[in-house]
Amino acid sequence: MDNHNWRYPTVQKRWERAPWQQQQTPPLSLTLAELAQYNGKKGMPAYIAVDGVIYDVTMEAAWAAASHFSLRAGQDLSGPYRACHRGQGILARLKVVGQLR
Amino acid sequence: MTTLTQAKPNLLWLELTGCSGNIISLLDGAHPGFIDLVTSLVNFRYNNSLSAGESSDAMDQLLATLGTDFILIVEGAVATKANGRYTVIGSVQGKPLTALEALRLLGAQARHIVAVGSCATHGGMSAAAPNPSGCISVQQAVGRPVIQLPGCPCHPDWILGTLTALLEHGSLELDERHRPRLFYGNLIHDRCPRRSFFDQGIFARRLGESTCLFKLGCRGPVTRTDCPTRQWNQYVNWPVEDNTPCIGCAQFGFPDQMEPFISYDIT
Repeated sequence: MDNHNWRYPTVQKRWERAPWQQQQTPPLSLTLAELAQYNGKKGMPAYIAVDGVIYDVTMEAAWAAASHFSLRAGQDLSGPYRACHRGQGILARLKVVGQLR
Repeated sequence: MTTLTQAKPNLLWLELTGCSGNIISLLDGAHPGFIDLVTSLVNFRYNNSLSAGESSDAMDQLLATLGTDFILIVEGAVATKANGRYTVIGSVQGKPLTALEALRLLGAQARHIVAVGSCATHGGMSAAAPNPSGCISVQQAVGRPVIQLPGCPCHPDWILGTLTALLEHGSLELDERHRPRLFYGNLIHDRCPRRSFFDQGIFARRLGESTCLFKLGCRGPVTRTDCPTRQWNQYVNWPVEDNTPCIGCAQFGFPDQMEPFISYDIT
């Protein structure tokens, strides 16, 4: 069996409430300076921006310690994203929380 | 252990710019072990740490292998600054033989080249910023495909298993980064015995806690090895089950891109 791409099935995570439980929060509109506060430390969630859209990576497995291959949360990572993950559809799996202004 | 069906090739093991941790790790191999390697699998001709010969005798032994059928294992990165003079592995006729020269000389003739350990596969610790000796990977230095066995150190089974597969079958299945799928096919995160804690959002806040180490900076989700199932020290233990996060030692980019290794202030 060729199982090298095996993955655990998607499960309902404790921090991901069911749709009927989710509170609708208005989308954020942040400047780059404001985004920098969302660095994933000391109670702040970990947000990143790609092409003007802000995503929540606080619970993303590949973002342990709010960092990912030398990149830190709280920044516009459009350039690194395009360099490493263009065409991989990763952004579609991330939670959108707002936009850069 | 059954002797392989094909004639035994020579094996050369070069130690370049590194800590010799991989040859020490190899000695911890069990099934097969180091004794199996030297008695049944190959004619082990040269290694800096293990060879009985010294000085020019050792160099003669190394260079006498040129022109024969041999497999080249390399640990350590390749220092390039000052024409490679940061790493000299011996002297030939009174002239220093740099690691860079030795690798290019032997690498051009080897049946297979196997880069063992993170320094050899991508520079690793030796190439960490600010990389004072200009270290590069083995593949960059030889300019031909190299089988990549990252890890700091490399597990003895990954070395001996790769070698055995090459000797018995002539090749083994590699991924797009030239790692054997047999050992590097799955993410640590996908086989982690603490995965259920991650899925339930139950995280350790200090070292020593027995839940998911994600918030402390565990790199298991981006690192491909079979550590959770194979384990280390002759199949006894591995970092996460000893309550310390994976630091991604077998991921390309280690160590610089795997930092911070530990964090205590993550949300």
